[in-house]
Amino acid sequence: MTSESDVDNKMQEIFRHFGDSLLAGDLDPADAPIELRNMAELIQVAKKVPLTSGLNQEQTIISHFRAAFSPQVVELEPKRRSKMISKILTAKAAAAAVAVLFGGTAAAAATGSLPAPAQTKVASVLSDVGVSVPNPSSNAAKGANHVTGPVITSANAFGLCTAYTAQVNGGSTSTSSGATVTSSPALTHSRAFINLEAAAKAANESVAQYCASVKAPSSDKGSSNAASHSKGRSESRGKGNEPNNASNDNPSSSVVPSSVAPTNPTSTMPVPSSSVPATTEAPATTVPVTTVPQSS
Amino acid sequence: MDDSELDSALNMAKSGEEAGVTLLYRNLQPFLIAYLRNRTGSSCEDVSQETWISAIGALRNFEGRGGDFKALLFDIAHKRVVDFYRKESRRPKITGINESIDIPGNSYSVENMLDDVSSQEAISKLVSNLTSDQAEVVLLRVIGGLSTQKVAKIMGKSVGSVRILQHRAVEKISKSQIGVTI
Repeated sequence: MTSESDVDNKMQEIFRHFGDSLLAGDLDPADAPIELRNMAELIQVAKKVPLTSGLNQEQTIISHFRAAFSPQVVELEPKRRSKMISKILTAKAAAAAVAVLFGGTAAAAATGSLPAPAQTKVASVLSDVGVSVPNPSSNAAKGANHVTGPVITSANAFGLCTAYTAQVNGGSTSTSSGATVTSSPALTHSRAFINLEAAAKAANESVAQYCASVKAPSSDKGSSNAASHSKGRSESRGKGNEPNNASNDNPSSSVVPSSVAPTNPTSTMPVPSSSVPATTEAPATTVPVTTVPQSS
Repeated sequence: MDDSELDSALNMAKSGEEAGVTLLYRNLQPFLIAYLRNRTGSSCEDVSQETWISAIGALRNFEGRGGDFKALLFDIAHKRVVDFYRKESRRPKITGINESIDIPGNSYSVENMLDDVSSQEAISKLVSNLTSDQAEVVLLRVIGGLSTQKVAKIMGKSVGSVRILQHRAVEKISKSQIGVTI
Protein backbone atom coordinates (compact mmCIF):
# COMPACT_ATOMS: atom_id res chain seq x y z
CA MET A 1 0.00 0.00 0.00
CA THR A 2 1.36 3.43 -1.01
CA SER A 3 1.08 6.51 1.14
CA GLU A 4 -0.10 9.94 -0.07
CA SER A 5 3.42 11.27 0.00
CA ASP A 6 4.56 8.44 -2.22
CA VAL A 7 1.88 9.44 -4.75
CA ASP A 8 3.03 13.04 -4.61
CA ASN A 9 6.64 12.07 -5.13
CA LYS A 10 5.67 9.90 -8.10
CA MET A 11 3.65 12.76 -9.64
CA GLN A 12 6.53 15.19 -9.12
CA GLU A 13 8.83 12.77 -10.88
CA ILE A 14 6.38 12.44 -13.80
CA PHE A 15 5.98 16.20 -14.11
CA ARG A 16 9.73 16.70 -13.98
CA HIS A 17 10.28 14.03 -16.59
CA PHE A 18 7.46 14.77 -19.00
CA GLY A 19 6.55 18.36 -18.24
CA ASP A 20 8.81 19.94 -20.79
CA SER A 21 7.83 17.64 -23.67
CA LEU A 22 4.21 17.86 -22.57
CA LEU A 23 4.05 21.65 -22.92
CA ALA A 24 6.05 21.50 -26.14
CA GLY A 25 3.32 19.25 -27.56
CA ASP A 26 5.82 16.52 -28.20
CA LEU A 27 4.17 14.02 -25.87
CA ASP A 28 1.70 11.81 -27.65
CA PRO A 29 -1.27 11.12 -25.32
CA ALA A 30 -0.95 7.43 -26.14
CA ASP A 31 2.61 7.44 -24.85
CA ALA A 32 1.95 9.63 -21.86
CA PRO A 33 1.65 8.29 -18.31
CA ILE A 34 -1.93 7.77 -17.32
CA GLU A 35 -1.68 10.74 -14.96
CA LEU A 36 -0.86 13.09 -17.84
CA ARG A 37 -2.96 11.57 -20.58
CA ASN A 38 -5.89 14.00 -20.26
CA MET A 39 -3.57 16.99 -20.13
CA ALA A 40 -1.63 15.74 -23.14
CA GLU A 41 -4.88 15.45 -25.10
CA LEU A 42 -5.92 18.92 -23.95
CA ILE A 43 -2.63 20.43 -25.07
CA GLN A 44 -2.86 18.68 -28.44
CA VAL A 45 -6.28 20.21 -29.01
CA ALA A 46 -5.13 23.63 -27.80
CA LYS A 47 -2.29 23.57 -30.29
CA LYS A 48 -4.66 22.96 -33.17
CA VAL A 49 -5.21 26.62 -33.73
CA PRO A 50 -7.13 27.08 -36.99
CA LEU A 51 -4.82 28.69 -39.52
CA THR A 52 -7.64 30.89 -40.76
CA SER A 53 -8.12 32.49 -37.39
CA GLY A 54 -7.68 36.24 -36.94
CA LEU A 55 -6.48 37.01 -40.45
CA ASN A 56 -8.80 39.94 -41.07
CA GLN A 57 -5.94 42.45 -40.48
CA GLU A 58 -3.89 41.15 -43.36
CA GLN A 59 -4.39 44.15 -45.65
CA THR A 60 -3.57 46.56 -42.86
CA ILE A 61 -0.38 44.72 -42.04
CA ILE A 62 0.61 44.48 -45.71
CA SER A 63 0.06 48.19 -46.20
CA HIS A 64 2.31 48.88 -43.22
CA PHE A 65 4.86 46.52 -44.71
CA ARG A 66 4.70 48.41 -48.03
CA ALA A 67 5.19 51.70 -46.23
CA ALA A 68 8.18 50.34 -44.34
CA PHE A 69 9.76 48.60 -47.29
CA SER A 70 9.13 50.96 -50.18
CA PRO A 71 11.37 53.22 -48.72
CA GLN A 72 14.34 53.70 -50.58
CA VAL A 73 12.17 56.69 -51.49
CA VAL A 74 11.08 57.41 -47.96
CA GLU A 75 14.54 57.15 -46.51
CA LEU A 76 16.54 58.72 -49.29
CA GLU A 77 14.29 61.71 -49.65
CA PRO A 78 15.26 63.42 -46.39
CA LYS A 79 18.94 62.70 -47.07
CA ARG A 80 18.64 64.16 -50.55
CA ARG A 81 16.81 67.19 -49.19
CA SER A 82 19.36 67.76 -46.46
CA LYS A 83 22.13 67.43 -49.05
CA MET A 84 20.40 69.96 -51.24
CA ILE A 85 19.95 72.33 -48.31
CA SER A 86 23.59 71.99 -47.36
CA LYS A 87 24.59 72.62 -50.98
CA ILE A 88 22.46 75.75 -51.12
CA LEU A 89 23.82 76.94 -47.80
CA THR A 90 27.36 76.26 -48.96
CA ALA A 91 26.76 78.15 -52.18
CA LYS A 92 25.19 81.03 -50.29
CA ALA A 93 28.03 81.13 -47.81
CA ALA A 94 30.54 81.06 -50.64
CA ALA A 95 28.70 83.81 -52.49
CA ALA A 96 28.54 85.89 -49.34
CA ALA A 97 32.24 85.37 -48.73
CA VAL A 98 33.03 86.35 -52.33
CA ALA A 99 30.75 89.36 -52.06
CA VAL A 100 32.40 90.46 -48.85
CA LEU A 101 35.86 89.80 -50.21
CA PHE A 102 35.40 91.43 -53.58
CA GLY A 103 32.96 94.01 -52.29
CA GLY A 104 35.43 95.09 -49.67
CA THR A 105 38.30 94.96 -52.13
CA ALA A 106 36.30 96.88 -54.70
CA ALA A 107 35.32 99.48 -52.15
CA ALA A 108 38.90 99.80 -51.03
CA ALA A 109 40.06 99.96 -54.63
CA ALA A 110 37.45 102.56 -55.49
CA THR A 111 38.63 104.78 -52.68
CA GLY A 112 42.26 104.15 -53.54
CA SER A 113 42.87 102.74 -50.09
CA LEU A 114 44.68 99.61 -51.20
CA PRO A 115 48.46 99.39 -51.03
CA ALA A 116 50.01 100.84 -54.17
CA PRO A 117 50.92 97.51 -55.86
CA ALA A 118 47.49 96.05 -55.13
CA GLN A 119 45.77 99.25 -56.19
CA THR A 120 47.70 99.19 -59.47
CA LYS A 121 46.72 95.57 -60.10
CA VAL A 122 43.07 96.14 -59.28
CA ALA A 123 42.95 99.29 -61.38
CA SER A 124 44.50 97.41 -64.28
CA VAL A 125 42.05 94.51 -64.00
CA LEU A 126 39.02 96.74 -63.56
CA SER A 127 40.03 98.99 -66.44
CA ASP A 128 39.76 95.92 -68.70
CA VAL A 129 36.09 95.63 -67.80
CA GLY A 130 35.49 99.35 -68.11
CA VAL A 131 35.56 100.22 -64.42
CA SER A 132 37.86 103.02 -63.44
CA VAL A 133 39.45 103.35 -60.04
CA PRO A 134 42.45 105.39 -58.92
CA ASN A 135 45.72 104.06 -60.35
CA PRO A 136 48.82 104.97 -58.39
CA SER A 137 51.16 104.21 -61.28
CA SER A 138 49.39 106.49 -63.74
CA ASN A 139 49.15 109.16 -61.09
CA ALA A 140 52.84 108.79 -60.40
CA ALA A 141 53.53 109.31 -64.08
CA LYS A 142 51.53 112.49 -64.02
CA GLY A 143 53.13 113.78 -60.88
CA ALA A 144 54.12 112.57 -57.51
CA ASN A 145 51.66 114.80 -55.71
CA HIS A 146 48.45 114.79 -57.65
CA VAL A 147 46.56 116.86 -55.09
CA THR A 148 47.92 120.23 -56.03
CA GLY A 149 45.19 122.54 -54.90
CA PRO A 150 44.03 125.62 -56.73
CA VAL A 151 46.35 127.79 -58.76
CA ILE A 152 46.63 131.22 -57.23
CA THR A 153 45.07 133.58 -59.70
CA SER A 154 43.84 137.11 -59.42
CA ALA A 155 40.35 135.77 -59.14
CA ASN A 156 40.90 133.33 -56.28
CA ALA A 157 43.77 135.15 -54.53
CA PHE A 158 41.39 137.62 -52.98
CA GLY A 159 39.08 134.93 -51.74
CA LEU A 160 41.94 132.85 -50.40
CA CYS A 161 43.41 135.84 -48.70
CA THR A 162 40.09 136.66 -47.15
CA ALA A 163 39.74 133.14 -45.88
CA TYR A 164 43.36 133.10 -44.77
CA THR A 165 42.93 136.34 -42.84
CA ALA A 166 39.74 135.14 -41.28
CA GLN A 167 41.41 131.91 -40.28
CA VAL A 168 44.34 133.75 -38.77
CA ASN A 169 42.15 136.19 -36.93
CA GLY A 170 39.86 133.47 -35.69
CA GLY A 171 42.72 131.26 -34.47
CA SER A 172 43.77 131.29 -30.86
CA THR A 173 47.35 132.11 -31.75
CA SER A 174 46.69 134.81 -34.23
CA THR A 175 48.39 138.05 -33.62
CA SER A 176 48.57 139.81 -36.94
CA SER A 177 51.93 138.84 -38.23
CA GLY A 178 52.54 136.41 -41.06
CA ALA A 179 55.01 134.37 -39.04
CA THR A 180 52.42 133.23 -36.63
CA VAL A 181 50.11 132.32 -39.45
CA THR A 182 52.33 129.61 -40.91
CA SER A 183 52.54 127.90 -37.57
CA SER A 184 48.80 127.36 -37.53
CA PRO A 185 48.06 123.66 -38.05
CA ALA A 186 44.83 124.42 -39.82
CA LEU A 187 46.57 126.58 -42.33
CA THR A 188 49.54 124.35 -42.95
CA HIS A 189 47.23 121.46 -43.71
CA SER A 190 45.32 123.39 -46.35
CA ARG A 191 46.69 122.85 -49.82
CA ALA A 192 45.17 126.12 -51.00
CA PHE A 193 46.88 128.08 -48.26
CA ILE A 194 50.18 126.32 -48.97
CA ASN A 195 49.83 127.47 -52.54
CA LEU A 196 49.03 130.93 -51.26
CA GLU A 197 52.14 130.89 -49.12
CA ALA A 198 54.18 129.71 -52.08
CA ALA A 199 52.83 132.52 -54.21
CA ALA A 200 53.72 135.00 -51.50
CA LYS A 201 57.16 133.49 -51.19
CA ALA A 202 57.67 133.72 -54.91
CA ALA A 203 56.94 137.39 -54.61
CA ASN A 204 59.42 137.64 -51.72
CA GLU A 205 56.61 138.66 -49.41
CA SER A 206 54.93 137.32 -46.35
CA VAL A 207 51.42 136.07 -46.80
CA ALA A 208 50.07 139.10 -45.00
CA GLN A 209 52.00 141.36 -47.26
CA TYR A 210 50.97 139.40 -50.29
CA CYS A 211 47.34 139.47 -49.31
CA ALA A 212 47.43 143.13 -48.55
CA SER A 213 48.38 143.77 -52.16
CA VAL A 214 45.59 141.62 -53.57
CA LYS A 215 42.67 143.60 -54.88
CA ALA A 216 39.17 142.43 -54.99
CA PRO A 217 38.36 141.15 -58.47
CA SER A 218 35.94 143.13 -60.61
CA SER A 219 32.44 141.84 -61.02
CA ASP A 220 33.04 141.14 -64.72
CA LYS A 221 36.01 138.95 -64.01
CA GLY A 222 34.15 137.12 -61.39
CA SER A 223 31.27 136.36 -63.64
CA SER A 224 33.65 135.30 -66.37
CA ASN A 225 35.42 132.93 -64.04
CA ALA A 226 32.18 131.69 -62.78
CA ALA A 227 31.05 131.09 -66.29
CA SER A 228 34.20 129.24 -67.20
CA HIS A 229 33.98 127.18 -64.03
CA SER A 230 30.42 126.37 -64.79
CA LYS A 231 31.39 125.48 -68.30
CA GLY A 232 34.09 123.19 -67.07
CA ARG A 233 31.68 121.37 -64.84
CA SER A 234 29.17 121.01 -67.56
CA GLU A 235 31.83 119.63 -69.88
CA SER A 236 32.82 117.19 -67.25
CA ARG A 237 29.24 116.19 -66.84
CA GLY A 238 28.93 115.94 -70.58
CA LYS A 239 31.12 112.85 -70.51
CA GLY A 240 28.20 111.01 -69.06
CA ASN A 241 29.99 109.44 -66.16
CA GLU A 242 27.15 109.74 -63.70
CA PRO A 243 23.63 108.59 -64.26
CA ASN A 244 22.03 111.63 -62.67
CA ASN A 245 24.32 114.29 -64.09
CA ALA A 246 21.56 116.43 -65.53
CA SER A 247 19.92 116.92 -62.20
CA ASN A 248 23.05 116.99 -60.08
CA ASP A 249 23.48 120.55 -58.87
CA ASN A 250 25.41 119.74 -55.77
CA PRO A 251 28.96 121.06 -56.20
CA SER A 252 30.29 118.66 -53.61
CA SER A 253 29.10 115.64 -55.47
CA SER A 254 31.82 113.67 -57.14
CA VAL A 255 32.67 114.19 -60.73
CA VAL A 256 35.06 111.69 -62.14
CA PRO A 257 37.61 113.26 -64.50
CA SER A 258 37.31 112.21 -68.08
CA SER A 259 40.78 110.70 -68.03
CA VAL A 260 39.67 108.07 -65.58
CA ALA A 261 36.05 107.90 -66.53
CA PRO A 262 34.62 104.41 -67.09
CA THR A 263 33.84 103.68 -70.69
CA ASN A 264 30.97 101.43 -69.82
CA PRO A 265 28.21 103.39 -68.14
CA THR A 266 26.48 100.27 -66.91
CA SER A 267 29.44 99.29 -64.81
CA THR A 268 29.98 102.70 -63.31
CA MET A 269 31.18 102.36 -59.79
CA PRO A 270 30.30 105.06 -57.27
CA VAL A 271 33.46 106.93 -56.45
CA PRO A 272 33.67 108.89 -53.23
CA SER A 273 34.64 112.52 -53.68
CA SER A 274 37.72 112.05 -51.54
CA SER A 275 39.21 109.73 -54.14
CA VAL A 276 38.80 112.11 -57.01
CA PRO A 277 42.09 113.70 -57.88
CA ALA A 278 42.12 117.41 -58.46
CA THR A 279 41.63 118.31 -62.07
CA THR A 280 44.14 121.13 -61.84
CA GLU A 281 47.65 119.79 -61.80
CA ALA A 282 49.65 123.00 -61.93
CA PRO A 283 52.38 123.03 -59.32
CA ALA A 284 51.90 125.18 -56.29
CA THR A 285 54.81 127.35 -57.35
CA THR A 286 52.93 128.62 -60.34
CA VAL A 287 53.44 132.35 -60.68
CA PRO A 288 50.38 134.14 -59.53
CA VAL A 289 48.48 135.97 -62.16
CA THR A 290 48.08 139.04 -60.09
CA THR A 291 50.96 140.47 -58.26
CA VAL A 292 50.21 143.51 -56.27
CA PRO A 293 52.93 145.67 -54.83
CA GLN A 294 53.38 145.34 -51.17
CA SER A 295 51.58 147.87 -49.16
CA SER A 296 53.30 148.93 -46.04
CA MET B 1 4.70 25.60 -41.93
CA ASP B 2 7.98 23.97 -40.98
CA ASP B 3 11.13 25.77 -39.96
CA SER B 4 12.65 25.88 -43.46
CA GLU B 5 9.47 27.40 -44.90
CA LEU B 6 9.47 29.95 -42.09
CA ASP B 7 13.10 30.80 -42.85
CA SER B 8 12.28 31.24 -46.52
CA ALA B 9 9.29 33.47 -45.78
CA LEU B 10 11.41 35.58 -43.44
CA ASN B 11 14.14 36.06 -46.04
CA MET B 12 11.57 37.09 -48.63
CA ALA B 13 10.03 39.58 -46.24
CA LYS B 14 13.40 41.00 -45.32
CA SER B 15 14.17 41.59 -48.97
CA GLY B 16 10.94 43.55 -49.28
CA GLU B 17 8.74 40.90 -50.94
CA GLU B 18 5.13 41.17 -49.86
CA ALA B 19 4.68 37.42 -50.39
CA GLY B 20 7.16 36.85 -47.58
CA VAL B 21 5.34 38.94 -45.02
CA THR B 22 2.02 37.49 -46.20
CA LEU B 23 3.30 33.99 -45.50
CA LEU B 24 4.63 35.03 -42.12
CA TYR B 25 1.36 36.70 -41.21
CA ARG B 26 -0.86 33.84 -42.33
CA ASN B 27 1.19 31.25 -40.48
CA LEU B 28 1.97 33.12 -37.28
CA GLN B 29 -1.07 35.35 -36.78
CA PRO B 30 -3.48 32.53 -35.77
CA PHE B 31 -1.20 31.57 -32.87
CA LEU B 32 -0.57 35.16 -31.97
CA ILE B 33 -4.26 35.97 -31.86
CA ALA B 34 -4.94 32.81 -29.82
CA TYR B 35 -2.35 33.93 -27.28
CA LEU B 36 -3.63 37.51 -27.20
CA ARG B 37 -7.24 36.43 -26.97
CA ASN B 38 -6.39 34.75 -23.69
CA ARG B 39 -4.43 37.72 -22.42
CA THR B 40 -6.34 40.78 -23.58
CA GLY B 41 -9.82 39.45 -24.40
CA SER B 42 -11.71 41.63 -26.86
CA SER B 43 -8.72 43.95 -27.34
CA CYS B 44 -6.73 41.17 -28.96
CA GLU B 45 -7.19 42.54 -32.49
CA ASP B 46 -5.84 45.96 -31.60
CA VAL B 47 -2.91 44.55 -29.68
CA SER B 48 -2.21 42.13 -32.49
CA GLN B 49 -2.08 44.93 -35.03
CA GLU B 50 0.28 46.96 -32.86
CA THR B 51 2.46 43.90 -32.46
CA TRP B 52 2.74 43.29 -36.21
CA ILE B 53 3.48 46.92 -36.94
CA SER B 54 6.32 46.86 -34.44
CA ALA B 55 7.60 43.56 -35.81
CA ILE B 56 7.58 44.90 -39.37
CA GLY B 57 9.48 47.95 -38.19
CA ALA B 58 12.14 45.64 -36.73
CA LEU B 59 12.15 43.31 -39.74
CA ARG B 60 14.66 45.17 -41.90
CA ASN B 61 17.48 44.93 -39.37
CA PHE B 62 16.40 41.59 -37.94
CA GLU B 63 19.07 38.90 -37.81
CA GLY B 64 17.99 35.35 -37.13
CA ARG B 65 15.90 32.51 -38.46
CA GLY B 66 12.17 32.00 -38.77
CA GLY B 67 11.87 30.58 -35.26
CA ASP B 68 13.67 33.61 -33.90
CA PHE B 69 11.25 35.89 -35.67
CA LYS B 70 8.35 34.04 -34.11
CA ALA B 71 9.99 34.55 -30.72
CA LEU B 72 10.39 38.23 -31.54
CA LEU B 73 6.72 38.45 -32.44
CA PHE B 74 5.64 36.94 -29.12
CA ASP B 75 8.20 39.05 -27.27
CA ILE B 76 6.62 42.19 -28.71
CA ALA B 77 3.16 40.82 -27.98
CA HIS B 78 4.13 40.10 -24.37
CA LYS B 79 5.32 43.68 -23.94
CA ARG B 80 2.11 44.95 -25.51
CA VAL B 81 0.12 42.84 -23.07
CA VAL B 82 2.07 44.35 -20.17
CA ASP B 83 1.41 47.83 -21.58
CA PHE B 84 -2.22 46.93 -22.07
CA TYR B 85 -2.69 46.01 -18.45
CA ARG B 86 -0.66 48.96 -17.29
CA LYS B 87 -2.98 51.23 -19.25
CA GLU B 88 -6.05 49.44 -18.09
CA SER B 89 -4.75 49.42 -14.53
CA ARG B 90 -5.76 45.89 -14.03
CA ARG B 91 -4.09 42.55 -13.76
CA PRO B 92 -4.27 40.05 -16.58
CA LYS B 93 -7.54 38.20 -16.56
CA ILE B 94 -7.95 34.77 -18.02
CA THR B 95 -11.00 35.18 -20.17
CA GLY B 96 -13.62 32.57 -20.67
CA ILE B 97 -14.53 31.32 -24.08
CA ASN B 98 -17.82 33.23 -24.32
CA GLU B 99 -16.24 36.65 -23.94
CA SER B 100 -13.07 36.10 -25.92
CA ILE B 101 -14.07 34.63 -29.24
CA ASP B 102 -14.44 37.10 -32.05
CA ILE B 103 -16.73 36.45 -34.97
CA PRO B 104 -14.70 36.66 -38.17
CA GLY B 105 -15.95 37.50 -41.65
CA ASN B 106 -17.63 35.38 -44.28
CA SER B 107 -14.45 33.46 -45.11
CA TYR B 108 -14.62 31.87 -41.71
CA SER B 109 -16.23 28.47 -42.18
CA VAL B 110 -18.36 26.74 -39.57
CA GLU B 111 -15.83 23.94 -39.39
CA ASN B 112 -13.02 26.38 -38.68
CA MET B 113 -15.08 28.10 -36.05
CA LEU B 114 -15.71 24.77 -34.34
CA ASP B 115 -12.00 24.01 -34.45
CA ASP B 116 -11.39 27.41 -33.00
CA VAL B 117 -13.87 26.84 -30.24
CA SER B 118 -12.27 23.51 -29.45
CA SER B 119 -8.84 25.06 -29.38
CA GLN B 120 -10.07 28.01 -27.37
CA GLU B 121 -11.92 25.77 -24.97
CA ALA B 122 -8.84 23.62 -24.47
CA ILE B 123 -6.64 26.68 -23.90
CA SER B 124 -9.18 28.05 -21.47
CA LYS B 125 -9.23 24.79 -19.51
CA LEU B 126 -5.44 24.74 -19.39
CA VAL B 127 -4.94 28.21 -17.95
CA SER B 128 -8.14 28.90 -16.06
CA ASN B 129 -6.75 27.94 -12.65
CA LEU B 130 -3.23 29.24 -13.11
CA THR B 131 -1.58 32.36 -11.85
CA SER B 132 -0.78 35.04 -14.40
CA ASP B 133 2.88 34.05 -14.72
CA GLN B 134 2.03 30.32 -14.90
CA ALA B 135 -0.56 31.04 -17.58
CA GLU B 136 1.95 33.14 -19.48
CA VAL B 137 4.46 30.30 -19.45
CA VAL B 138 1.88 27.75 -20.58
CA LEU B 139 0.53 29.99 -23.33
CA LEU B 140 3.95 30.90 -24.68
CA ARG B 141 5.05 27.29 -24.59
CA VAL B 142 1.87 25.67 -25.91
CA ILE B 143 0.47 28.34 -28.26
CA GLY B 144 3.70 30.11 -29.11
CA GLY B 145 5.62 26.88 -29.38
CA LEU B 146 8.62 28.54 -27.76
CA SER B 147 11.40 26.85 -25.82
CA THR B 148 11.92 27.37 -22.09
CA GLN B 149 14.93 29.54 -22.86
CA LYS B 150 13.01 31.84 -25.17
CA VAL B 151 10.11 32.10 -22.73
CA ALA B 152 12.57 32.99 -19.97
CA LYS B 153 14.04 35.71 -22.17
CA ILE B 154 10.63 37.12 -23.08
CA MET B 155 9.45 37.18 -19.49
CA GLY B 156 12.70 38.54 -18.19
CA LYS B 157 13.18 35.58 -15.88
CA SER B 158 15.81 32.92 -15.46
CA VAL B 159 15.34 29.56 -17.14
CA GLY B 160 15.16 27.98 -13.68
CA SER B 161 12.34 30.27 -12.65
CA VAL B 162 10.43 29.43 -15.80
CA ARG B 163 10.95 25.72 -15.23
CA ILE B 164 9.55 26.07 -11.71
CA LEU B 165 6.57 28.02 -13.05
CA GLN B 166 5.79 25.43 -15.69
CA HIS B 167 6.27 22.55 -13.25
CA ARG B 168 3.75 24.07 -10.89
CA ALA B 169 1.43 24.85 -13.79
CA VAL B 170 1.51 21.25 -15.01
CA GLU B 171 0.92 19.98 -11.51
CA LYS B 172 -2.05 22.30 -11.08
CA ILE B 173 -3.51 21.44 -14.48
CA SER B 174 -3.04 17.73 -13.85
CA LYS B 175 -4.85 17.89 -10.56
CA SER B 176 -7.74 19.83 -12.07
CA GLN B 177 -8.02 17.43 -14.99
CA ILE B 178 -8.30 14.23 -13.00
CA GLY B 179 -11.44 12.56 -14.09
CA VAL B 180 -12.00 15.03 -16.90
CA THR B 181 -12.42 13.67 -20.40
CA ILE B 182 -11.86 15.71 -23.51
